[in-house]
Amino acid sequence: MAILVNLDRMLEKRNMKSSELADAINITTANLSILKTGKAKAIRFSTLEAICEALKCQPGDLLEYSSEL
Amino acid sequence: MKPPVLLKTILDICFFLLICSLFSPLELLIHFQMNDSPLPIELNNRLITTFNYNTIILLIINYSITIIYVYIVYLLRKLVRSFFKNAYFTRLQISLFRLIGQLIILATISEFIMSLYTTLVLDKRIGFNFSIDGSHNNLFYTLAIGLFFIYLGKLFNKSKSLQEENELTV
Repeated sequence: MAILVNLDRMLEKRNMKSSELADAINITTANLSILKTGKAKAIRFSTLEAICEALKCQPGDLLEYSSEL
Repeated sequence: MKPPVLLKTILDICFFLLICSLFSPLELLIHFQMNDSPLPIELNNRLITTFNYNTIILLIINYSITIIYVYIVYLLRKLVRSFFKNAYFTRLQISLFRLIGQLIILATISEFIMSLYTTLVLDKRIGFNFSIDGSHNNLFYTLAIGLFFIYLGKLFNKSKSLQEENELTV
């Protein structure tokens, strides 16, 4: 998919673990893993909003478009 | 979703009866072993009393079509049983829908060709008629059922991708 998810980078910046983020935004670690590994086909606005709130970032910090993929 | 128990039962009964019909050549052989009198066989509403090369071919084709129908019912049973596992839009279901549809079309066309051949062999004339009657036993209706099964396979394939997309939405 041409959309990259930079969740790993943001978690590293905020010094936060995946499980902590999963708890904070109330989704399962399995679903967060799907998002992190780029297997997700879609993301709900509510999930994106919750991640942005927990990581104090913008959607653009998490998602990136790449034409090479 | 409730499993289709009634449908499964009906298909089981249908499969059992069709399996019994597969033993008809055996009955024929036993009859010939025990009696000298010819056994009247009815094929496409025509009575066969004499056996020659052509009538034997007709009987073999008719028997092959019966085997196809038994296999269709077997596949339908398999398909219905797969719904009992509470798994929907699986690869197995998609391929079964497609295969059942193709086999229905194959059997219908074979039956049509056989009816032409029967007219040619038994009535010594060439002829066919297209008609739509009130029963389910007509060419176009059965062909439509076969095509509908193939279309259901395509629908299940589409549903499978939608389900995958839904499952991978975070």
